[in-house]
Amino acid sequence: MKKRSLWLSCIAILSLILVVTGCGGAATTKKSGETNVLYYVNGSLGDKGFVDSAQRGIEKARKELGIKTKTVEGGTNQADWASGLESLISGGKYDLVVVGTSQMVDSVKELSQRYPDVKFIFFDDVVKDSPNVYSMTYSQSDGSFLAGAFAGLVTTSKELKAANPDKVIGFIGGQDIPIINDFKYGYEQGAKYIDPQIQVVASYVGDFVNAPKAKDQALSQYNTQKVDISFNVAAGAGLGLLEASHDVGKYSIGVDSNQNALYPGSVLTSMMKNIDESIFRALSMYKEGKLKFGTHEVLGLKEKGVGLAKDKLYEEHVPKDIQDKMKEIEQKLVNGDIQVKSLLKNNK
Amino acid sequence: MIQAIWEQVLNLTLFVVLLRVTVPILLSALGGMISMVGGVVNIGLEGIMLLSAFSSIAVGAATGSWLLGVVAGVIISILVSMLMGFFSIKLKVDIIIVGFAVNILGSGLTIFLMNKIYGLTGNYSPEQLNRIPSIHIPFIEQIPIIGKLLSGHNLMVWVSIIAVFLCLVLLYRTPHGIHLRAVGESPEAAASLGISVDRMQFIALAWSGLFAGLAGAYLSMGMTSMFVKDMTAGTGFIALAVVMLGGSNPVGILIGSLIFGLGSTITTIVQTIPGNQIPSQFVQMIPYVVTILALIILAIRKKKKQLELTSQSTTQS
Repeated sequence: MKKRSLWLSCIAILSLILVVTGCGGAATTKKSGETNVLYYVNGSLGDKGFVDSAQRGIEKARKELGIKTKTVEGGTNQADWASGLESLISGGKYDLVVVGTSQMVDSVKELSQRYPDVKFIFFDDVVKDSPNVYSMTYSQSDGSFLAGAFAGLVTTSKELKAANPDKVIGFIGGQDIPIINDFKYGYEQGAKYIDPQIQVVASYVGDFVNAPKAKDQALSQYNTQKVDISFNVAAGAGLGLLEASHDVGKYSIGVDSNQNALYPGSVLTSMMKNIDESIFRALSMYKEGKLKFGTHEVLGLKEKGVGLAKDKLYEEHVPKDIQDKMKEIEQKLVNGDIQVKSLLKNNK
Repeated sequence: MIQAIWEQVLNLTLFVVLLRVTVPILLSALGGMISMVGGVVNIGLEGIMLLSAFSSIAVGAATGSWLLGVVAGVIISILVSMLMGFFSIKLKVDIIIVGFAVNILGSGLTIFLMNKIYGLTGNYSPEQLNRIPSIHIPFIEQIPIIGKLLSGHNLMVWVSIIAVFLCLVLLYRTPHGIHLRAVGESPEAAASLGISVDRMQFIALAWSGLFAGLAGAYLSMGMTSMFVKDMTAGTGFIALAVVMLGGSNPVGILIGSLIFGLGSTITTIVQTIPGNQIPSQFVQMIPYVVTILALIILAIRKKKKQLELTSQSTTQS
C-alpha cells in the first residue's frame, strides 16, 4: 500500500516536471528581430516616484519604439530579488533587462557574468567592469543643489506667508546610505549658496515605507525646530512628510517625480530624477545600436537627467522673484559657473 | 544636545509626540495581552493591523465618515481573528503558524486589493477623507500647561487610555474575565467547571482583533490620512514584545508601551536636533536597545523573586 502511493507520487512529480519544462521550452522560442525588454522592479510599483517614473519610460518606449516589454515586481523581500531576477533571465526570453538602484548592483554584476548574452541597462548606480551592462546615474547632487537653493530662497523669503525668520531648513531621508547622503550634500551646498548661515536639520526614517514615522519627524522639524521647508528623500515614507507640511501649513519639496499636485501650495516643487526620459533615451539608443554597453554615464542638469518640477502649480504658488532666481542658478549650473561637489566617486 | 531634549520635555512637545506614538503600540498590545490571558498567543497582530488600516481608510474614504471607517476596520480585524481561531482551535493548526500566515496575508492582500480597487500598489491617499478627529476641550485649552497636556489629542489617544481601564475591569472584576483567565491558566480545570474552553478562546481572539483593529485604523486615519504598503513597519511585533514585558496586567502593558513610545520619541527628537552629531544608525537602535534592557531587568527581577520564594519555603520547612 505504502509502496504504491510512493510510486504514484513519483509519477505525479515526474509528469509535473515534464509539463513545466515543456512550457519553458515553448516560451523560449521567439521571433528574431523582435526586442524583448524586461523591467525588473526591486520593490513594487505605486510609489508615485522612483519606480513609477521608470515604468513610464518603459511604457513610452513600448508605444513609440515598438518593442515588447514586460514589467515584473519583485516585492519587498530583498532576499527574493536576486533569485527572482535570475529565474526570469535564465529562461532566455529577454534580450535586454532594465533594472536599477544600489541594492541590485552585486546581483546584477554576478548575473551579467553568468549570462553574457543578456544585455542590461542599469540605472541609479554603477555596475563596473561588465561588458554587457550600460549604467547610468543621475547627478542627485546637481538636482539637490537646486532643491537646496530653492529651500534657501523660501526660508529667507519675506513674501511667502509661512516662511519664518529662522534660517532653518529640513531634510528627511529614507536610510543613512551613500546615495541619500549625496542628496543631502547637494542640498546643503545649494542652501549655503543662498545664505551661508542656513542650517539643515536632517533626519532619517530608517526605511522607505514607514509614513507615520516620517510624518512625526516632519512635525517635529516644523513645530519645534522652526523649519519652514523640508525636502523629502524617503520615497513612500516621505509622503508622511508631505502630508505633515500640509497639516501645519508649511512647505515641502517632493522627490523623484512630480509630487507638486499631492498637496498644492504645500509641496512647492519636486526635485525630479527624470528616470523615465533617461530610460527612454537609453532604449532608443539601444534600438539604433548606439548604446555603449560596458560604460557609465552621469546624467546631470545639462543632460536633463535631473531638474525641478515646474508646472502650473509651481508658477501659481512660488513668488516670481524666486522663480527668476532659480532660472539664473540653473543657467549657472549648466554653464559650469557653479560646480556642485558629490560624495560619490562615480559622479564626477 | 541634552539641553535641546530637556527643552522639549519642558515645553511638553515630548509628551505630545509620546502620546501619538504610543497609541498604536498600546492598543495592539492590549489585544495581544487579552488573547495571551485566554491562552492563545496572537502573533498575527501586525497583519491584522495592516488589514484594518487598509479597510478602514477604504471605507472611510468611500462613505466620508471616519466612524464607519473605524467600524469597518474593527469588523474586518475581528473576522480575521475569528478565522485564526477557526484554524487553530477547530482545526488544531499551531497558532504560531496561523499568526505568521496572517502577517504575510496582511501585507500581500492589502497590496493586492489596493491594486484591484484603486489601480495602485504602493500607497493610497484619498483626496477627501475625514480623519479621526482631535478633541479640543474648550476653556482648558487656554490654560498654558494643562491645555497642552489634556487638549488637542486625537480621539484614539483617549480611547486607548480608556481601553486600559476597561481591560483592568474586564479581566479582574467581571465573571467573563475570570473565565478567560481560568481558561488561560488551566484549560482542564476550567473545562471541569463547565466553561467552554473553545468558546472562551474564540472570544479572547475576538478581543485582540478589536484592539488591533482600532490600532490599525488609527495608523491610516488618525496619525496620517493615507495607506502605505507595510506601513505598520513592525509595530505589531513591538506590541508583542510589550505583551511579554507587561504580562497579563493592563497597567504593565501601559508602562511597557510608554517605554517603547519613549524610545521612538527620543529617536525622532534626537534626529531632528540641528547639528546632531550622532550617527543615525545609533539613534535608530534606541527602541530596540530599550527592549533588550527592559527584558534583562524583567528577567533579573523574576529570578530574584523565585530565589526569595525558594528560600522562604526552605526556611519554613
